[in-house]
Formats: sequence, structure tokens, C-alpha cells
Amino acid sequence: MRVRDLRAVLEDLGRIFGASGARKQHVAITQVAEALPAAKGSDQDIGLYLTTLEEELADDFAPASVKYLRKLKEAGLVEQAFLATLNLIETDRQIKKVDLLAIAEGYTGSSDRKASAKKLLSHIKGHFYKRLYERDANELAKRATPV
Amino acid sequence: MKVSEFRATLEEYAGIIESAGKVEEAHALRRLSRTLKAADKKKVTDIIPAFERAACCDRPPVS
Repeated sequence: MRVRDLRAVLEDLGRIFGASGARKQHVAITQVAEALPAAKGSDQDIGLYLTTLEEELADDFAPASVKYLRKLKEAGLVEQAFLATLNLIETDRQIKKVDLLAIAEGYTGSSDRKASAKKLLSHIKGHFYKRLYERDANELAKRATPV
Repeated sequence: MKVSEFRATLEEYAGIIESAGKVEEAHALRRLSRTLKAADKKKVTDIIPAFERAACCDRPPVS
């Protein structure tokens, strides 16, 4: 079953509630149906989509530190993905210093409790580039011909 | 409307369409209902952004 099929089932259900005057149900079901992809992505397998949705919901209700730490780890050594996540952390107005400390500790293995938010972010960034350089150096070393 | 109420509606409708022979559709509705269980205490409007993100999500590859 595809996402578009689920959307069609929900649209049917929304129409039934709409016709019967159950406004509350009609509104909620229509909102969910409309949030499902109609064009791009509508061909996606329903299982795959719901797994992604489950992860997104878990992210929404997880503490900020857990959410961002997972995103940073998912980014791996992909610079663009890492910088995008770091930007999310920097611009999140709800994030507290205690969250930043937990992220820095979880990502780098160490953190200074007295460090400012700016320094903690810099520490995370530094750790990423250190790992990136290490990977590149290892790759160069593998390619080098012994003299 | 709370997600728990929304889920109850889905489950009820799934039962109805299943008895009408639409087994696959009923299964999909139940699957959606189970997916939303973690958000039971939230409102449906609170979970809409997650649906939209899941729709356009291109997760970065893990290296």
C-alpha cells in the first residue's frame, strides 16, 4: 500500500464525518489527510513513511539534547549535514545550556561545565573537523607508497 | 481533538471497513494509529508538522 492510498482512505473518512456533521472529527481527519504527501512522495511505501513519521514524532517529544545528538550522529562525517544540524542547534531559541552541555558531552565525549554556549558549539565543531581530518589523513596514508 | 480520540476514531473506522472487505486499508489505518500512540496526550494539530517533515524528509546518509 502506498501513501496516496492511505490519504484516499482518510479523505473518505473525512467526507463521512463532514456529511454527518461531526465537525471535530472532520477537521482532524482532513488536517492529517492534507499533511500526507499528495504529489512527490505519495508513491512511497506506507511502512517506510510511517517509520519516518514515528522517528519525527519521537524527535518532537524527546528532550532537545537527545534530538540533536541523534541528528549529529546521523550526519556522520557529511559536512553539509553536520553544519545544517549545528545551525539548527544555534538557532533553536528553546535550547538551554544544560542541553548544550549534554550534546557536547554525548558528541565529543567531554565538555567544560563552565564554558559558554558559544564555546560549547565551537567545541562540537572542532570535534567534527578533527574526525574529518583524521579520516582524510588515514585515507592519504593508505594511498601513500612506502619509499 | 486529542490524538487518543483521533486514534479511537481510526480504529473504529478500521473495524467498519474491514468487515466490508477492505482489509488492506483497515490494516493501514491501524498501523497509522499505532504510529501515533506515543503522541496520545497531544493535540492533532501538534503532530501535523511531523507528518509534513516525514513527507519531505531526506535524511543525510550515515558515513
